[in-house]
Amino acid sequence: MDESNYWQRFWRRRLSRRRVLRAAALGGAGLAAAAVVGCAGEEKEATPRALLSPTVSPSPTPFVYEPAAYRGGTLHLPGYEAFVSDTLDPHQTEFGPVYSSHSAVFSKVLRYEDIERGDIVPDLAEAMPETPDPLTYIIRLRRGVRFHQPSAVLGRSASAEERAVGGRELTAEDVKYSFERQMNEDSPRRALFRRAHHYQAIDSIEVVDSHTLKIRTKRPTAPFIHFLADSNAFIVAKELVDDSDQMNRQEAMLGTGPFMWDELKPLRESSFVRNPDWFGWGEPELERPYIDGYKSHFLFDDASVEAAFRTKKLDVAFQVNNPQWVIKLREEEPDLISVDKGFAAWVKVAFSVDQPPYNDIRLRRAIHLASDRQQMLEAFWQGYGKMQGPVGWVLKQWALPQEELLTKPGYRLSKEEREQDEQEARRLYEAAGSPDLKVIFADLPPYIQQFAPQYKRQLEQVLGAKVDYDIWTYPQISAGSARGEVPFVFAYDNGWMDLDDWLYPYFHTDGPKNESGLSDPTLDRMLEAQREEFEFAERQRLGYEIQRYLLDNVLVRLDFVAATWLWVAWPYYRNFRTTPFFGNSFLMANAWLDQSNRVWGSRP
Amino acid sequence: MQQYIVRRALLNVLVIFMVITMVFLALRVTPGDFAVRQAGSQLPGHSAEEATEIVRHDLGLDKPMPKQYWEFVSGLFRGDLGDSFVSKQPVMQELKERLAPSIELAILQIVIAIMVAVPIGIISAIRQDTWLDYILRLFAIFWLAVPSFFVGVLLLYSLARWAHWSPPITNYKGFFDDPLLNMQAMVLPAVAGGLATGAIIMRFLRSQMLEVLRQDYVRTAWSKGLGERAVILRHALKNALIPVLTVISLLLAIVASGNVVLETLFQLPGIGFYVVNAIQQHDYPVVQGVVLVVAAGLVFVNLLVDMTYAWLDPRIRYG
Amino acid sequence: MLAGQERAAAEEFVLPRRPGWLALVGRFVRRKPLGAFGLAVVLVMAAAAAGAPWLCRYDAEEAFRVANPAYLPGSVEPEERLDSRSGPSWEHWFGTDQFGRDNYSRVVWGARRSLGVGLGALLFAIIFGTTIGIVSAYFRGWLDMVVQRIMDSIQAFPPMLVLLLLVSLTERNLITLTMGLGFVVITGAQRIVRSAVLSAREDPHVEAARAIGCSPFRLMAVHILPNVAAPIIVIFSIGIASVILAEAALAFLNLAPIEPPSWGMMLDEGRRYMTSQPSTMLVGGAAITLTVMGFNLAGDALRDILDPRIRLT
Repeated sequence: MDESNYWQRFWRRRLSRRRVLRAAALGGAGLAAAAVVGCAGEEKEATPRALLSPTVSPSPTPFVYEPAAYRGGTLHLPGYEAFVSDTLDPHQTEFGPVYSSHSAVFSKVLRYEDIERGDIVPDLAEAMPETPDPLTYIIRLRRGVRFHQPSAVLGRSASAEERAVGGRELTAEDVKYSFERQMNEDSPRRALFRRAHHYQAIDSIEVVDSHTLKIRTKRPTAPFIHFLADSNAFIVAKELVDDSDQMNRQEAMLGTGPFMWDELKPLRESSFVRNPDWFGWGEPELERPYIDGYKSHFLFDDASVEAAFRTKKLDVAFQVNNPQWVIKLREEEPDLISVDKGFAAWVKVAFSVDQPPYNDIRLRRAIHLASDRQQMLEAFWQGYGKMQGPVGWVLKQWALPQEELLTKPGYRLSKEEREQDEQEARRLYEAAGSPDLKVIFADLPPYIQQFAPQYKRQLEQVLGAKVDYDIWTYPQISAGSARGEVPFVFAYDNGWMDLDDWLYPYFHTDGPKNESGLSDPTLDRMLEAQREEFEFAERQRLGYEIQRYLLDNVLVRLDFVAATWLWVAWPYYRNFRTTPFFGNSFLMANAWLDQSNRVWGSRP
Repeated sequence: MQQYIVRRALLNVLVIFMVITMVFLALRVTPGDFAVRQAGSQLPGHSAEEATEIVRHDLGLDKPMPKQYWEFVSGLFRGDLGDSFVSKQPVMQELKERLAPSIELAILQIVIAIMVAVPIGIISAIRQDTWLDYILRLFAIFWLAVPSFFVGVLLLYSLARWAHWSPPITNYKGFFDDPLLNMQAMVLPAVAGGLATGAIIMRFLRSQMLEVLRQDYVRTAWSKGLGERAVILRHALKNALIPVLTVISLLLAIVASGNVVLETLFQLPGIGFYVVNAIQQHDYPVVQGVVLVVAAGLVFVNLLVDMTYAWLDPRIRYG
Repeated sequence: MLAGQERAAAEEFVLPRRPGWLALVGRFVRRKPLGAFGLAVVLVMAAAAAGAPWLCRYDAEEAFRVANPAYLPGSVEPEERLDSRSGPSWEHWFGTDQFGRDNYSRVVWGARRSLGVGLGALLFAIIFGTTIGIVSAYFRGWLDMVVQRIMDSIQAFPPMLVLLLLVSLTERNLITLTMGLGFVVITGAQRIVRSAVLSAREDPHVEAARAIGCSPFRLMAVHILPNVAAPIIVIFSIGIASVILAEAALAFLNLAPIEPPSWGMMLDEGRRYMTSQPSTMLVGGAAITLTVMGFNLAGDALRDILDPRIRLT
């Protein structure tokens, strides 16, 4: 366990703002270093049958990249990138797979190199921002970063958008525009910018020269570095945004990232090609990406994915519903690259506390205790996942440690403890007046609606309640919650990368995702305190306190479980990375296809 | 006869308009439209209504209903079905790309169905109540009863697992681009769906054949000393086919639009999956466009079938 | 002498006794073994549907738990886990599904749902479809034209789309679903009936009846309707089969009400883990297949028996 202490200390030092620069330099150097062959992503987590391992696995080691021996080839992956759920606009979309596509095409000021370790490194910036004081960030951009010119590579004539923007250099003005766009109160689409609250922490942006920016925040904001690296923090060109402040056209998807968007065939596939003029994260001599491009195929059926993967029409795969085929495949083909990676999206219940009977915490606690999380894990993902507290378990540095979580009522596993919890649930329910309950279930993913009768039964049995339910689509739920019709919702939610995002937007009185009507001054103070705490250990401690407070006193959002995905990849896919959430496709800039591998020959 | 065709054609156009109008109204009457979906979660101080209004205005949904309808109809005459709310691409273009695979699949399924059904139906009818008849009927009924998506899943999985072959899921090519690849993609869903359809046709054909074979004119043909083949093919089959054509035209409707699950399983870029998604996302222009095209196709196919009736059964004359 | 001869003759001449119902059944089974099998299946399913509360061993939604083999005292492993995706056993004849529910009980309840929906939809469809078909074909001319065009416009709606639209526009409700399914069958039913009536209309006995001045209503009800009985029976058997399949397809796509259990939903849930435990999927699929087969076989046999022309040979 010395190793974990070392890494904890190392990482704590990194986030201390005075050491940020030095740590970034270290991290960057480590990435570029030649590496020992063959340690591509081995992170086997808990054994399949156990719900979780007895000890929390130590912080993962940083990924070590192999130098590329071959160039060329196109990667084929399964995914949802070809499904345009709401919009193509990088600042207005909420749909994970779409901003995965954006993350390959557009660049950000900073980016995540490793989410679980919290490693943030420079992307468009030359180095991590200088912070002369807690409110000021000085960002120096790299020079020679140019917008895409796909017509040359793809052999098409240049679109109007490309003629406007292609080949021009990205400057500080673009960064300023991208940030101000999202905080613009006068925009006709101001209500649609998903991460606007990140940018509202900014007080002013000053363009010092063409490649330098000075940003001042209104208050000390510890997660600000994270905001600059977050999923929607893309830098776009002003020319590509139309008069109604939308960038929703395929032709406008021109950025500065390692890949260029070739073609989007809705519900079929999305294809990307290598950007030959990519700035290469300060190492253009490597001439990354090594591959010619990648294609994401819209497959969401285990039978189809397995069939395609076995015949090498896909280079990578993961389970859609049933992990058994992946396990069997791993046994049959021991050479496969196998990674188990937790996923940040999770299943939860949301209450509206401005309506009876859900304004009574006794009732909420009763429901919290009655919910059987173990049953959900088994039912949804055959046990592959973990129970979740207010912060996603994949964020090991922020989430309440599993050992502590499992001692909390509602999360306890042993039979007698479960019985105690259930008895307490009934007692509380009766104390709250035994009201009738109505639950609204989301219709996707399918296992949520299929679980509805089970959950109803569980509540009826444990609480002795009369429970009714209905199944609505997400748009119906949005419409209904605006009218106050959905006080008890069982649904699925996006995953977040930083402590702040898991808590502040949902629980602060002014939080943008606070749809429950919660307003708790103590909690507000704690949330603001964590937001302003730059010292990692202290911030972590504050985070733990908030989570404990939420579990003991608030219970406005009940957090249940989150899945583990079992990934497999053919061994010729080198530098294969998995991440706990969408929006990290730029990591494929380091991928290369090993044509000397023995199974390469059978690849179609 | 000419007059009849013209009258029918004009009435068909009227029918299509009725269909379109019904769909248009039905879509707009429902709660939870596309604008709400795009609106999603908001900032404090901005209501859900505001965001929804922005999007609705962009899509032209805030105009009064009659105006929207007029714009839609006048667009039709220009061949413009509007732009998809989701992808912002012209619906006409997306439809054109997606229509071919669905039609091809439907045709292949019907061809397989007919190839299987006609000989089996005839044999079963002329050898009524023999063991062969029983076995064939059981076989037919089995294939009719098994859900086609069940068959599809089993086929896909077993071929991948044991023959290490899977259809070209990741790169579909149209029939005219690469016939061999296209057939590989089509064979499994065509078989999975075609057998079920074939069973239905076979049974109906058999029952019609049985009726026809008892008719007087058939007995006359027997007594004239004609061989079995001549009797069946020249005299009986033609009359038995009439109601069967009805069933085929009925099935065309079911097959062309009901291939949603097979299209999804085998990744065929057809209209089935496209339109299901559009319905769930409340993408009105797409739904309207698909319904228009499919309705038009079906209505004219029905006309063709009625024409064929008249040709086959001289007793039926339209005037 | 004559009296004696008469008496002898009388003794020899014995009127055939009307066969008892048992003999009739026996004759049916011997003459139409497939039909008998089909009828047996239908009766079993109907019995399951009617007697579901008594035939089920457990509640259809109850989740079962078993001891966890990975449990160690003091570890964080739970003592019990869901008995999910287990194969056939003495406690669970058809195994369990992913929620640990007993598949046998779910199949039996599923019979009630499928048959209820199927019968309801078909009754709806046949009553309306037959009436429309006969009236339209009998009167021909303008009435026929108008009615057929209206039917065409409804039929021009691809059935799957109608169902999908219906499901997304209305609440998830079994009654609405049944009526929607029935509605989709009406147009097809009336078209088949109409084509049969068009042929039957020219039959000599119908012309004769018309010649002697039968009222149109009497003509349709008494003379034409029996000729149409055979197609109606075929429609019923094909129809109920396709309605059960369509309902299964909707449940498969997660668009149908969740309770009571549906075979289509068992098929969908089961296929997600079919490579590790196929029993749920196979049981759901087999139930659909058997029931649909049963209705079709029985319908065939009944048609063969009832059609007067066949009985003459």
